[in-house]
Amino acid sequence: MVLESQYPKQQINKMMMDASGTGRFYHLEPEQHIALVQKTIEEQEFPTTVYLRFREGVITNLEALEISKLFESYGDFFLHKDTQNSVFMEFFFLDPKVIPSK
Amino acid sequence: MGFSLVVQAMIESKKPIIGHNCMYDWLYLFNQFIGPLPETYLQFSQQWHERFPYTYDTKVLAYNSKAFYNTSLGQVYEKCVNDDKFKSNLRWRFDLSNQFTNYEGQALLSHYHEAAYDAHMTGVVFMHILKHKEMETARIVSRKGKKGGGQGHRHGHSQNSNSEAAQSSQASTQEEFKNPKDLKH
Repeated sequence: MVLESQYPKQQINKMMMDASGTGRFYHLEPEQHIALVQKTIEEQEFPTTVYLRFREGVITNLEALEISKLFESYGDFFLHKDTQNSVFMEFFFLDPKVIPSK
Repeated sequence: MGFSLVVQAMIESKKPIIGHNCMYDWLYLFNQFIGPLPETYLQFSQQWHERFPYTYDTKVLAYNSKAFYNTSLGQVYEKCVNDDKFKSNLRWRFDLSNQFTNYEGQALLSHYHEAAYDAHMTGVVFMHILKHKEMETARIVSRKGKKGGGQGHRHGHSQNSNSEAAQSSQASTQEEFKNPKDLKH
């Protein structure tokens, strides 16, 4: 049975995180997800991730897509709104015209 | 009710569930037909895994196989059915009985993003990639067997052999494409 071979066993319950192909995955097996979170925490390196906290009310009623438009001139990024007033932005491209140091 | 009954049947069957770049599809399916999405991702993964223990993403299969420059469904499908490395590995055909002739003949590209055709392409791609990797591994094991034929320990080490073969397979395919970061998806 082809599903019993090694390759499908390695790839089971692993979902692509983004269409641009950064090679990161969501794990649908809870243990794998916990291990990934643990590893990420241990590495403690997020050189392209920015955490922004806004004054009360600034983004409260904005969806992630609307918030991302406020920053689109800086480059390409994933945005995650984690509370009513804060977001994580992970850049995968910083526009050197806007941020010359990069 | 309606489609929820189909989802229920899928859950009870415990058959593999396969999609292409399908994380949002699973979230949508869960929210529409199973229950409200949980507060955290961990809770979601637990609840999903209880219901669907065998889930595959053909985009992940294609990406990690290192056999495709572009892992969009249409491109992977085209390669699987046209490339010599893939196309002769499997044979399949549509069941055209009962007047199901829509996907017959030319101009199949116009069916891209049509749900049933995307499902068909996903199934074809799934089987082709797994078959390709299975054969790749078998070739490597066979090559190693020939090289190390005089050592007399071919039996009883299948687990290790397979694991080594997979590593070699990854190494050789990465070499083939020189820089895997150039892969487009």
